[in-house]
This record gives sequence, structure tokens and C-alpha cells, in this order.
Amino acid sequence: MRVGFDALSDAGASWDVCIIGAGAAGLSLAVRLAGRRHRVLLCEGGDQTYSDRSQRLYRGAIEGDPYIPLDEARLRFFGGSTNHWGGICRPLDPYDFTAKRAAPVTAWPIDGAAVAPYRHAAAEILGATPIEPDRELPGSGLKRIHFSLGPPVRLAQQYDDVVRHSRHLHYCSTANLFDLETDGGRVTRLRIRDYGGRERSVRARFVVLACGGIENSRLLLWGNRRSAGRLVPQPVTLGRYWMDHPHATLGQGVVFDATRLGLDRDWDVFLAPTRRSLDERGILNCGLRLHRLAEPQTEALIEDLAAVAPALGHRLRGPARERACGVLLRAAWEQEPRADNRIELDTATDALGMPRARLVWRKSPLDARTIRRSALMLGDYLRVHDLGRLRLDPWLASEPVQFPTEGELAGRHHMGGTRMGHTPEAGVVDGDCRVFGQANLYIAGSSVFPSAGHANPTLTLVQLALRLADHLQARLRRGG
Amino acid sequence: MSNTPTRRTFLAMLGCAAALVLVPALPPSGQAGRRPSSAPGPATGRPPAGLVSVDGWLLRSSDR
Repeated sequence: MRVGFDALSDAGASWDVCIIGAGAAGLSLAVRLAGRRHRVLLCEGGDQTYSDRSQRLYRGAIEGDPYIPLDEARLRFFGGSTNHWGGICRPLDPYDFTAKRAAPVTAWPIDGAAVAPYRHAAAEILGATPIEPDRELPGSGLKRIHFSLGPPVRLAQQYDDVVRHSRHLHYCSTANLFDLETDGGRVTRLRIRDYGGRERSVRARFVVLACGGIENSRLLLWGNRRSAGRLVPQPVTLGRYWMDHPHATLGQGVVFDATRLGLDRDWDVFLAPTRRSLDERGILNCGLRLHRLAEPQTEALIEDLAAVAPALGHRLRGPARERACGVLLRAAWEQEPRADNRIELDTATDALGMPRARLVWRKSPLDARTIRRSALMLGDYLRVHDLGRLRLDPWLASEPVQFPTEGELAGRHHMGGTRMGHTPEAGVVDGDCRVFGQANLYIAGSSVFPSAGHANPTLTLVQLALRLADHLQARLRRGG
Repeated sequence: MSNTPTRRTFLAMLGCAAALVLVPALPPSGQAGRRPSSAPGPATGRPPAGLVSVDGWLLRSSDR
């Protein structure tokens, strides 16, 4: 049921779980727990629909590589960024949870089997369709992979009825978390503010921050400053190891027989290096997307190709022309987790009085190597097996790689900042997503990812949220 | 793969559940300055035998 801001109080009522943030992670977790009859308070800082007053709180500074303005890369109202996502889903590869040879810091403290049992339920929540198994392309070092390509579920609409009518789930909008108070081992009180400057306190047995891959860091950094370091006693990695999936157009090409790569059936064919290729080439994971082009663009590409390769051009103007198609090559790839990429507290403050976020984000030499070697792997596969030819865009065609400074840049997939680790020195949360140093504070969302793979993060973060629901239920049954 | 249109796109399409596929246009084709260069192999940095790169095109030597 919906409750008004005035109904929030720490007098008497104590919630089993208070969840901050009603996006993909927070809503999935809240609905799951309430369905099991736990008393859940879900606080959303935004309004029911888009509002400038809420969205403005997402403004922040950016330092480093060009990046999407922070208030355009996410949405701050009921449903969160699921209000504009594209619905693309794929689980991480099992080896994304492991230490990769190129960067052992990619290791998670849990393995893929820990989240695998939640895949079906997460897919159901997100409306994801079954995904065909990966299939290696012999002699390429690549595998054909698949995504669930939408249409995107809008969780705000999907859960509107549940939020209105659930007896166990209490939902409050315009309830902005401003501070978390701790006794040094447990969060004892949450201070919530509305846009009029009113403040209410909330107590809960368990608190979950589910505010997205930037705000989770920002809130903990702010809470830690206000508590003089008592909220996150060992903030070695707090705000750090922040990641997105760099995105770019890599080039174009001509595929000689569309049927050989499945481009006769699908307009988009996805490929990725095999685990062995990652190790052999010293790179991280990478998703390559071949997008079939229309006839006029195909014709122009063949003309270009013929200008540098007359013998091949002659062949493509013969009977082979009918089977050929032009392709656009795009990619989204795994970014190296680096401590230097981070969320900080800026000197400017927002309308609620909290320091704004400041993102420091740069791509690394390993990020460059990953995308160049992945593109070359595909280019070599096509020419060695005479399946086609690729033309790399100038930024990628020679070394050093000069990353594009405009265009899509990244996937708006905000990951890291409160990374999962075995120890407080290695992470902010443990394998159960509990903040080290606080017995009852948890994080939900992709901010806990220690590494990113190349797949869109939403399915995985919902898997983790459902896993957290099981964990909290077990703790609630044990008496906290 | 990016799955979120820009906020501007979102605002224009609020309420529309269609996923967008953003495909940039092909750059203009150019024909000048075609100098062959070696194409580094993915693992070693050395060009695989019989493979060359010309203006970004990853070719076989026999293509020319």
C-alpha cells in the first residue's frame, strides 16, 4: 500500500526491511519479500512519474573521458531506470565471475552457480525470453551468442497494483534518504527528507540501499563522512572500481554469404571471444554485434572494397553479389576494474543539502587492447575463412587506439563502487551483499559487481536481488 | 549492448515501450591515400601470413 511522507515515523513501528530505491533491484526485492509476508517499507526519492525536481538531484561532475551527463544516464522516479531501458538481457558468462588472466581483479567472491538458480525468476520479472546456448565458431576463437532483445518491461506499470494493494509492502514516494545513523555495528536509524525540507526517521531490522550504480556509492560516502568513518570502517574500495561497458562502432564490412553467419535470419548477430581466447590474447570479455545493412549501403561498401581490392571486387560483382550483405560492426565490452575509476563527493551540493556525485572515469590500455584484439579476431576469422572482409574505423585501425569522443560512448550500465569482496580490504560488501562493518546494511544493484563481463547488467542484478531476498528471509527467520 | 536511449529520447517517447536500435549512418566513402600496412595478428601483434590491411580494410594479399 502507498503511504504518505507524514506516515513515516520511528515511533513504535519497526520494519523488517527498509529498501531505499524503487528501481529494478529495489522493486524486485521488495515484492519478493512482501510476498513472503515480511513487513517491507520501500522508499523512493522520486515522484510517481518523471519530475525535474527529482531528476536534478542526479546532476554531477565528470572528470576524465567523455561520458553521458549523470542526470541523463539514469532516471529518478518509481521504476527507476527501467522506465527507459531497452529490455536487452543476457546473463554473465560463468567465467565472468572468475579471475581473468588479463586482470585477476575481475574475480567475484561468489561463482556463477550462486546466482544461476535465480535466472528463471529474474527473467520472468524482466520479461526476458529464453536465450539459445552459445555456439563456438570453429577456427575463430569466437562464439555466437544471443540476447533476449525485449520488448522492455516497465516495472513501474508491472508492479503498480502490487504496490497499491499489498498488505505487507508499504511504499512511500518523495522519500529521499539523507543519512544513515549507526552505532558502529548496526544501522540504527534512517533520516528521510522530502522536497519541502521536512524530515522523518525510520528504523528497520534490515536496510537495503538499492539506488543504482552511482547513488549507492554516493550515499555510503556521505554517510561515512557524517559518521566520521563509522558506517564503512574500512573504505578502501568505497566508490572505487566503478565501471560501465564502453560502446563504440568499430567499422563496417562485407559478409560474402549472409546465411553462413545467420544474417539471413537476423538483422543482428552477436559474437564474443571464447574463454580461451581471452586468456590467450590477454583481454577481457567483449560483445561484438554485426548489424545487417540495407542494399544501398551494401552496394557502397562493395564499391569501397573494390577500390582497394580489385580482384575481390570483381568477384563480388559476379554471382556472389546476391549472397553478400554489408554489416555495421559495433561492440560493448568489459571494462578493466580499476581503483582510479570512482565516484567521489563533489564540493557542490544538491537541493537536499547532500554533496553531488563526481565521476572520475577513464578507459585503460587494457580496455583498448580488448576492443582492438576482439575486432581483429573477427576480421581475421572472416578473411582467413573467406567469409567476408572488415574495414575498421580509423580510431581502431592502428595503434595506439584513439577512442571516439562522441557518439554512444557507453551503455549507461553503472557498475562497481560498492564492489563485492572476500574481505573489507577487497570490497565494500561481502558475498551476501552485506556492507562490511554493519550487521544489517545491504546493497542491491549492479554497484556490487566486482567486474562487468560484457552483458547488460539488469538480469544479473535482479538475480542478485532475489538471492538477497532469500538471504534476508533466512536471517529474519533466525531472528536477525 | 546499450539498452537505454538518451533521456531526451526518453522524454520524447514517454509511454512508448518500443526498444530502439540506434544505428549510426555509414561514414562517407573515401578513396584517397590507400597505403597498405601490415595487419597485426590478434595474439602476437605480428601480421598473420598473407594478410594485409589497406585503409582499415582487413584483406588477404590475394584480394588485391
